[in-house]
Amino acid sequence: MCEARFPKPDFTSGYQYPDIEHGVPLEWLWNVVDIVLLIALMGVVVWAAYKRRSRSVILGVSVVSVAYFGFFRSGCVCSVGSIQNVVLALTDSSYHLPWYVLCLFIIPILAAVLFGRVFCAGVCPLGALQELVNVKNFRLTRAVSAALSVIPWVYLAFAILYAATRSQFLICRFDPFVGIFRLGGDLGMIVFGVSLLLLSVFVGRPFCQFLCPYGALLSVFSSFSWKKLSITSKTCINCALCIKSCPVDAIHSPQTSKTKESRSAGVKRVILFAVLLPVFTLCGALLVGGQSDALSSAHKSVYLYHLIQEQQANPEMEMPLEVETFHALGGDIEALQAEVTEVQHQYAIYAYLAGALIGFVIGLKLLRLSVKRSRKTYEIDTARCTMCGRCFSYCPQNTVKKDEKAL
Amino acid sequence: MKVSGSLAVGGAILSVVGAGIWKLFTKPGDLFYGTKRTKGLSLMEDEEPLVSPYRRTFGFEVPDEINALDVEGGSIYLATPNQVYIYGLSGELQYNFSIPSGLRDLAVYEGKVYALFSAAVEVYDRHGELVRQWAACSDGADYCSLAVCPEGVFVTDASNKHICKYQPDGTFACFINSPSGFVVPSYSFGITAVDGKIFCSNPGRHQVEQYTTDGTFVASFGKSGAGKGAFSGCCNPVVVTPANNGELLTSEKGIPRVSCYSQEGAFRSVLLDAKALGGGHDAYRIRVMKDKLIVAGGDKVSVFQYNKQQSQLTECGQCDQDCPLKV
Amino acid sequence: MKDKKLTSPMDRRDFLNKCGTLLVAGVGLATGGVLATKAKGKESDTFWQIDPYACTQCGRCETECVLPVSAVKCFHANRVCGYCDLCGGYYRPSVKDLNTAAENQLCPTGAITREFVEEPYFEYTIDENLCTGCGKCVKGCTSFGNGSLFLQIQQDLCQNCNECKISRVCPSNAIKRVSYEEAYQLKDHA
Repeated sequence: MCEARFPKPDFTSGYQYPDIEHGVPLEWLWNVVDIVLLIALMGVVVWAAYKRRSRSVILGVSVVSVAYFGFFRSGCVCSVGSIQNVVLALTDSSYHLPWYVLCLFIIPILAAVLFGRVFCAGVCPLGALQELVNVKNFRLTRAVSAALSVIPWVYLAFAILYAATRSQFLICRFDPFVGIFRLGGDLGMIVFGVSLLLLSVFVGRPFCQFLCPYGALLSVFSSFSWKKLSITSKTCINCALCIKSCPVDAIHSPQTSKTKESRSAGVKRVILFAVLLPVFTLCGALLVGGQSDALSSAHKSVYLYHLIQEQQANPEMEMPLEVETFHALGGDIEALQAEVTEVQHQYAIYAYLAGALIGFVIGLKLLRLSVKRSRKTYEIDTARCTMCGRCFSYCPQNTVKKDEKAL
Repeated sequence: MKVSGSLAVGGAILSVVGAGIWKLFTKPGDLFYGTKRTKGLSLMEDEEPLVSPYRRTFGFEVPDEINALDVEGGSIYLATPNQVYIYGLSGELQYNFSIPSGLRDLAVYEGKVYALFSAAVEVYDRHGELVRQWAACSDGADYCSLAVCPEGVFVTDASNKHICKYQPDGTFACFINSPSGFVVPSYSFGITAVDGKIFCSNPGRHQVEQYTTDGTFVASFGKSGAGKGAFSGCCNPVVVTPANNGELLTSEKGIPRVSCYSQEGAFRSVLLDAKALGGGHDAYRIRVMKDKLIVAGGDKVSVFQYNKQQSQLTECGQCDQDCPLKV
Repeated sequence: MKDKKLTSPMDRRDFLNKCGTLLVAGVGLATGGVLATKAKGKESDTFWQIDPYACTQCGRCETECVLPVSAVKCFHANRVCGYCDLCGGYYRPSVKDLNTAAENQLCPTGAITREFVEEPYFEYTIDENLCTGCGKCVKGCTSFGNGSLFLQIQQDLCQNCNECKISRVCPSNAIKRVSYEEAYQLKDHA
């Protein structure tokens, strides 16, 4: 509601109104450079991992990524956060998704379908930063790792929930490294980021393994990748030298089942899975969905509504600024109530879905732990492998090749 | 060593994440909407609490935002963007009729409703019949407020920065200019007529100026300042209106308040401060009806009456004027 | 007579893997396709804008921006200004003398300067390098004056975070995503 006009001062001295220029943002061209560099760097990683099997090239890519995507572009907008933009675009028709955010989201996924988690190798600035400070390789026990690996899915489920209901960008709120890249920001997040970096000195890629929601998404796509990375192009001689080298414990050792399991046992197992998995899913859905009203306070209007109710119940309490502003702007309580009902209704749907996702994932992980796949050689689990390239130099088959060349 | 180390790291990560998730379920507001600044900005460093000598005795709401207010003969006339409402003193709607949009001010004289638009004056009777109308006499006129008295219709022009006097039938009479020039930065150029004298505000100079009905300048008073007895901000007072004994009431914006001055400019008292009026920063429209103050702001009308108890520590209580408001 | 029979677990796994690849590739491409229909070029909402008419000058623009010095600055719409001597945005409300002494000014950094134009008009200008976006002058101007001073996000300073931290805590929801054309919503009327 703007004022139509104001009575002009009657200047008699011929005064002219000044023309004021306002600062313009960075050229739109940089977004194109971002995407071109993204594809180029991923291509370099594919070549380095599949053809050359060289870790130093991958480290070089990490340095470029930290410098450009990290410090120059401040690590925002990143692929991890692009999940939220994409979800928002799918649920809110008034949001205009920028094409380069779409590219940031979909190109690493398509690369994962083709070649595995190429993005995580050195192109993602968050991963690259952790990779560059990683010195030791203290690996967590399988049990702890498995327990922690649920967290990225929980994070993903909640990020989707909050983005779909237009409440929050959760990933942006808890981004640990953007404060370091931007050289400024929320103190809590910078402390979190620095602690994660300190941890990643001796534990490989803690954010990527245990927190990254985009990594969870990529792991699904890369487990079915068209080309699977192998430690050596020659045949594996089962020397077991590579297994200790992997920082994220992504190398499977050979398993041969001593006895072939009977058919009935196999059928029983399938039926057990068929029953247990939906049970887990349902439990997850009920657990989270049942709390959808409590979760809905993350939405600004619901939060405001609760503040108003609290203030009405305790009138002697100091009025929060949000409530004061609401009343000063002539806020309509009934309209707010209607909006709150609408938001909570949306939360109910998405909270059940988020809970179902979490339950499904937990169930699936538990069932996967109980299944023993027979394997003859040492293989990379493409879902977990972040293509850091450490294993290449450990494999004697790779060095033998070099020696042969020298000869 | 490996197991204990893993458990330590795993435990640390799980506890941080767990704490975050617990907060998501119980207090998401704190997690997302906590700020360093919980109070708003305050411009006044020391706000001396003022006790208003008047107490709100009655009030009612109207359907839309009030643009203008006048009273006559026990009725309250209100103008909203498209309507004129006539209410009785107890808030009962007596009549309403529609008017064109863009009304700037309203005045009621001898049962006729004078509606001022940016470049025209329209006169209606109580039932909404258009009786008379005339267009502005000068180019680029942007009218602000008007006062009606037996000698004519006096209209303040904010863009040409003068007062335009019309005969009661609408013919142009003369322009009235201020000796120091009217400075009108915004649409707050109040005018009123009392006992054959014209009082208007010169808002940019923080003055209330007095003229004869022929247009001759008589005197002016007023000073700039935020304290009582002065006019705050850049353009005040917005409204000038008389009490029944001729004392002048002014209504200001920025720090909304209603003050009382003598016709010579002696400050009497602050009658209503921002808290009593209802806050905000727009000026409140005010009229006097015998012993009551009628105040309109937003979409609410309030009736204030003098309260002996509350007035004891105010200048109003000490004032020895024979004031019809102090019953 | 069948030559190949999927008997060993390895071949079956291979087949399932290939099906999986096709499935995820399909899902990925389909999602990409759907989103491509929603993606926009220059009209995409990537910039943050304050609606100056919705702003209530709470002061959070100064403290909540992720940058050390906020990207929100005070702008002046000269065409709306009244050019008053006692400017509501320049002077403290309780000012006694109308001179340029620092203790009379509202602005804590002295970013507003005034220049005499002609009697009784003064032109007020804001030095953007000194402005911290605290909003005190905006509050003064809006309360007392015409509201020609207003807060707006300076686009060459703003980092264009995916979610603006100030927008999350703005009590009047005045900050929203817009396309570049709408980024500078000003109060000037020619």
